[in-house]
Amino acid sequence: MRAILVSWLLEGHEKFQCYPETLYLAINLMDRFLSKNKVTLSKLQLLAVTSLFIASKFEEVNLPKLSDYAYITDGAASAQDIKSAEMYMLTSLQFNIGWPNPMNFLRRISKADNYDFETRNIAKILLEYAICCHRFVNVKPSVLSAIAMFIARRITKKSIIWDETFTHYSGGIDALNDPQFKRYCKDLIQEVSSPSTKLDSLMIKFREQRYRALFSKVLHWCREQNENGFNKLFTN
Amino acid sequence: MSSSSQFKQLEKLGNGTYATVYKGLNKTTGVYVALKEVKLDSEEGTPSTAIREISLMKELKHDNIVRLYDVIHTENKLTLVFEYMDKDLKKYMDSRTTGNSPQGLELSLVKYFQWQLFEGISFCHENKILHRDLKPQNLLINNKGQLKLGDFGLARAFGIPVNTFSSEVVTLWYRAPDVLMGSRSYSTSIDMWSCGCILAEMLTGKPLFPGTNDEEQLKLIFDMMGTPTESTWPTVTTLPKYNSNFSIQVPKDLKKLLQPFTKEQLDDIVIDLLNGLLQLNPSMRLSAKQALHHPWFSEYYQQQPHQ
Repeated sequence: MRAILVSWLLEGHEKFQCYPETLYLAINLMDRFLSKNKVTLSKLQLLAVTSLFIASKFEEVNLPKLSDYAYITDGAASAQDIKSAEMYMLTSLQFNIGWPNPMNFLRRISKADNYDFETRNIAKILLEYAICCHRFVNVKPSVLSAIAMFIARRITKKSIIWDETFTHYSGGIDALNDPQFKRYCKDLIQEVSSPSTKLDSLMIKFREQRYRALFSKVLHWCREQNENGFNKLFTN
Repeated sequence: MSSSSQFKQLEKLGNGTYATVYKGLNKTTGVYVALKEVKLDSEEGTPSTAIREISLMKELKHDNIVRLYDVIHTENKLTLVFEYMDKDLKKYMDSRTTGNSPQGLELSLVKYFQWQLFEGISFCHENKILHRDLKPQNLLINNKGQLKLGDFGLARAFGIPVNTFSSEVVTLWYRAPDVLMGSRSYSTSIDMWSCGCILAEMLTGKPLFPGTNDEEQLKLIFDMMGTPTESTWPTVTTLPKYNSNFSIQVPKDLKKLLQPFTKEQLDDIVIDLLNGLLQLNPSMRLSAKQALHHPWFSEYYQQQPHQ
């Protein structure tokens, strides 16, 4: 069910051409709301659109109009519905909207390899993938960004995979010796090569011109890793 | 959450960027508060300024930042319950004006206010929040001489390194030259420029760069601080609104320019601090932490062995 909502959020986010931060915040707001409120099936789309509505107000410079949000629900939620839901959500979340956005951590960790272009773009794909999968809901945003970076560096065949500089810019993650971190990496590689949830919109997005080549590289590499049992994944 | 019946609404204190502020009395505790009322009848639902202000201020608990106690939601409005402050710095300075000639404040008072301003903004920056609208009207003071940052309606969270943001921020007179030239990748330095303008304004009693539009604002800044070049500020010519026809000015002696308007004799130490804040090149501008360690404040930080 979450996958359907996330897919729908992705579509709306694409239509409005918002920042990646906005999508991640919207998913986070939705998860937080759902962790403490029961929502009936018929109201789930209203929840998703309202999450995007609030996230945009927090992150974006130019805001889409409320009527545009209502429009993309194709009749499922009116502008008035979204307005009421907004206040209900804000109150339920006690106006705690800010969170440590994984994009900020990715930007920071990219400093360690001087913003290597390809690695960064691959890391963005992996990060987005992880955020859309429910099995990583409980993983800290800083750790998710480090996982994306680590795998991206493997894919781009960097000679030194992780050193003190990366540990520093990742906020102290010792990738090669941290069993929990290693487990998460394997989980993500597994998830990409054989998805346990269907993320249709994400697949459509990654097959677009601007992502296609990189995503097929990621997919190919992950499948290979999965088949050879993560051989040499964690040796420098 | 408290209920609105807990507060008695008293006189109107003013209009904020997106709301009306009243003085209020907490009937249970007898404590005065400031009630900021945000109307919710807008086309677009809850204003984004309110969402940002509330979510950011909830996390900022510091002696030099106005405390947000509570948020009360009623049918068609949102009431933000803030700590009550007696007046803002602008009104305070105006009240000290004799006749028509504005007057600067005593140096010891300027120092105490400026120190508190740096303490408050330093805390914001440590917590990855930019205020983006520092000006005397948004600095609140009470009868104990405390100064606190208020009105976080334009504030936003940022990461390191920063993402790009809107360049339509900060009231014109206090807007940094990089932002005036259209930079969108500014960071904490945006607030430090405003701190410099405020310091000068407290010293002389009048705004330092009172421009009426973007071009005039830049002209006033360059007339005093000199026109930047690639050698004094690498990459300046790549800014969107950089104009190669800016008239070429050399930096002026700030002490000479400000001295005629100040209450007391200025020393070189405060001018050095002012120059550090009013660096055209944002990467050269003092940070809030650095400013707190400036020699002008030596009498304050010597009392705090940990710093």
